[in-house]
Amino acid sequence: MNKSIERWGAYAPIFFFIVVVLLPFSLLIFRFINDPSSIISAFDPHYLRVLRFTFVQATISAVLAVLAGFPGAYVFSKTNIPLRSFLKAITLIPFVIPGIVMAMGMLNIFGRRGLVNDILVLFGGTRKSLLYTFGAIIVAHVVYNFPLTIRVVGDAWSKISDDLISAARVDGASRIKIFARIELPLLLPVTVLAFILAFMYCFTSFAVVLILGGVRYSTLEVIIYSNLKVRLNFPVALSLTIVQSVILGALSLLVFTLRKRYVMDMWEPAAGKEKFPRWCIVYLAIAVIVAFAPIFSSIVYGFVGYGGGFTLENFRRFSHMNVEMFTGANVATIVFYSCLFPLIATALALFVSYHGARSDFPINRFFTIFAAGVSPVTLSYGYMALGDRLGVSMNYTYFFIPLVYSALIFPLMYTLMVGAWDTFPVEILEMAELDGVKRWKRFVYVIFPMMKSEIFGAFTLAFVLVLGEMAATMTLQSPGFATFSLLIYRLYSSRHMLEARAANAILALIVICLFVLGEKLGSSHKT
Amino acid sequence: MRAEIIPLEPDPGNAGVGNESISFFAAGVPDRVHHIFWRWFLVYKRVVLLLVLLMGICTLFAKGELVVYTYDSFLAGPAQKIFPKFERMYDCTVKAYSFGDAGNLLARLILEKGDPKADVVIGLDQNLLLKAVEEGVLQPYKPINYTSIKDEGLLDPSWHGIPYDFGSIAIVYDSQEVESPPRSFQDLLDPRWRRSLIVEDPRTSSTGLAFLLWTVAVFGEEGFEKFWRALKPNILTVTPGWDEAFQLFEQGEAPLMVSYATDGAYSYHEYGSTRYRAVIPEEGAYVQIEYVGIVKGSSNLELAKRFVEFVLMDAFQKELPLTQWMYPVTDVELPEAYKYAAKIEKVLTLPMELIKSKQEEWVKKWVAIISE
Repeated sequence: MNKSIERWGAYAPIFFFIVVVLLPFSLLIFRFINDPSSIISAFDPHYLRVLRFTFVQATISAVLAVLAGFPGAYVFSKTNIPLRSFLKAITLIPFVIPGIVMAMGMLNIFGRRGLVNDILVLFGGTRKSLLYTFGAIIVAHVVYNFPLTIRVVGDAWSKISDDLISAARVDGASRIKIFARIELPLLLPVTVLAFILAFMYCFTSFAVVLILGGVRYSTLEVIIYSNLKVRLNFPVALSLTIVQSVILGALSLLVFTLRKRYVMDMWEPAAGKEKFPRWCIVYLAIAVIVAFAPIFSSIVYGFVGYGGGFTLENFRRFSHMNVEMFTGANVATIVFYSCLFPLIATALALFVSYHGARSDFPINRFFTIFAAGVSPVTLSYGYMALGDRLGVSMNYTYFFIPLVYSALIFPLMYTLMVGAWDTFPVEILEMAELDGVKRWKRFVYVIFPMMKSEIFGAFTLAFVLVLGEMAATMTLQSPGFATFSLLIYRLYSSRHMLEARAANAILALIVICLFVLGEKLGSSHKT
Repeated sequence: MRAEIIPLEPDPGNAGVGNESISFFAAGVPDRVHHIFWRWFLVYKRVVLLLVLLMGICTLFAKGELVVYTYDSFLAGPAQKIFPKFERMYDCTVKAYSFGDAGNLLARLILEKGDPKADVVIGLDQNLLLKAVEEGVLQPYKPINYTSIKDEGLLDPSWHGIPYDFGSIAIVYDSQEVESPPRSFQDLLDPRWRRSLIVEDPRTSSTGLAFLLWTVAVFGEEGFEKFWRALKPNILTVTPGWDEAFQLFEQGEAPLMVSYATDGAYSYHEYGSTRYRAVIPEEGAYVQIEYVGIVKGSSNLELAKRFVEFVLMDAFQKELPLTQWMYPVTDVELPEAYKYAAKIEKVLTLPMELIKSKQEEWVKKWVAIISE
């Protein structure tokens, strides 16, 4: 009985993919792609040029993001760094904020009135524009994605037993040699996972590339969006989506074959034994400043009035406005859905990933990353078509939103869970199985305590990601339904910039609180 | 059939409370059976009356229902005031749905083409209207009061869309950094504006697309490419949408951006600030027109037609300037804040057919120039 559940569980991601992603997506395909010429039109030389650029920038960005994250992974997993859980929590923040907020955060550092220029002026220089180049895109993508390396690689690193390292030390190996010969090979599989995630997000990047890249650059996602939303040329948009998804899926398969599962040494909390080295201070300072800048500027921006200057006016306006007029829903409804929908989606994606990632079949991996190439807008249109087909009243289309959310976070969740299982000492579980420990007891007493930090980490990350989701939320909304992100969108789109800034600042504060909470739950009271 | 007529019937059941009223009507009936009969009848009658009343209420709800599709900011803005007026005028219910922005709105109509649920759609601009006509989701209608539209140039000759407001894009500048804004497109090419202009991407933004079409209207099909090549060094960056452009602009990244003629009026009205001002180059303004249309296959055609006419009435038109920040299409009086809006003196247009056949090519040419 138990065995069969586990066997079925291993296929859960495929079921999930077919029902939640493929079904609505293929409804659109059958509706709009009637002849092969539209697929061929996706191979227009103009699109191929954009595709090449997309690929190049994503590869460079992902490699650099992994490199930039490695020292952080070491610091957080191996040294006795002060305020570990708080710092660890906030470094993850850039990853979950929307691209546009990210771009604005970069402005506050590198922009004409940004931090770097302020320092330049202080030393007698003149203000100049440091953004709007290819380099700016790469820097932004690295900032966006290095935290994930810290998380994925760091979690694995903390599980490498100290005994192993002490043994090597006794044999006279230097710290660098220990890293290169022992730790790096052990960490290679999770490093590869971190690369895939970073690549996936850089490949589908949109706002960062357009805004910070200046005049010249755009990605495939820009063309997909254009055909989907502005030109409403669905055949081209869908064909390009397939191309994008197949590339992502195939690449992850390829990288997958490079990855071998290492059996970790017996699990033992080894974190925080080494002395906090001095070079880390510089790294940490830079990391925290760049990582914190976007969310920090979101909060600060909440206090900036129209045309500049500090003010509390934004919050006064926000608290006095008629929420119901903007959203058709009252505050209680907004809070209810903003909590419930991300909760359902995150729980679903976590459940599926947790079960599927243990066996991690190549086919699962392909489909999982394939899903990352399908944009939220495409998926919502698919659900519109599905709702239409099933005769779902327009008053209830919002019931589909949690499914879109779960599809969105699924690639991330799955990869994080693969990482968690990779470093999990399966022998312990086998021993427990041999001892006849029941399935749920194995989860409660063995798996959960050991995976707690990964599970809570993944949960918070995914929850926060969908909390700010707008594209699918607004497409599938119905009267009387609203979420906090929808409220922000309505405020922006009706030009209520000040109220929108206040709302954004509140969202940023909620995000910080959630991360700190997630980190606390993941690390405190060890069993 | 309204519920109010019911109380006009003599209603003994409502005349008093309890048995007294019953005995009054039952006077002269000698036997007890009769009395009981009457009692039952009257109680029963109350039930009947209650049912009639309920039915009346039901017919109230079952009265004409108009399903309107629009975009978010219309629903959150003018719809709040305007729709109730229409409901009162035509004794009907307006059910309004929004799906984010105007692109989503049309996508929804296309997805529902086989089984349309909407009667009326509000908020398609020229480009989306073209696409909507091409997809066959609208049916033409010429409202009887169309003559109240002050400018014939706004009309859709095929009558699939009826214009209800229009605006012009403009160059908006930060008056704290710019003393003499560019007065013409040629001025914009001046080297003093190097890396000074923020533009929206015509592939992802309707504002960006309008700006591209504006340059085609000014320089013609042959000249616009040359203009963009010359303009390129003066563009700081290209953003996906208006929001992002405005945020960059407000953070002082560049002193000029492509935005709307009413921006000055808006910031004066909302924030009492005249810092950001709009200027329309002397070559003429390119207007963005928004249309209302009747959905093909509407199940409530007569009411939909009345709605289209209602859109051209003052009750509707006068709500637009301060909620949509667009100009009304009829001669209603403009609010005071509009003295800070850039003046539209000359209107440039491109024939719809030309846009339809050439737009994709122009965008491709634009991309080629930009990514050189």
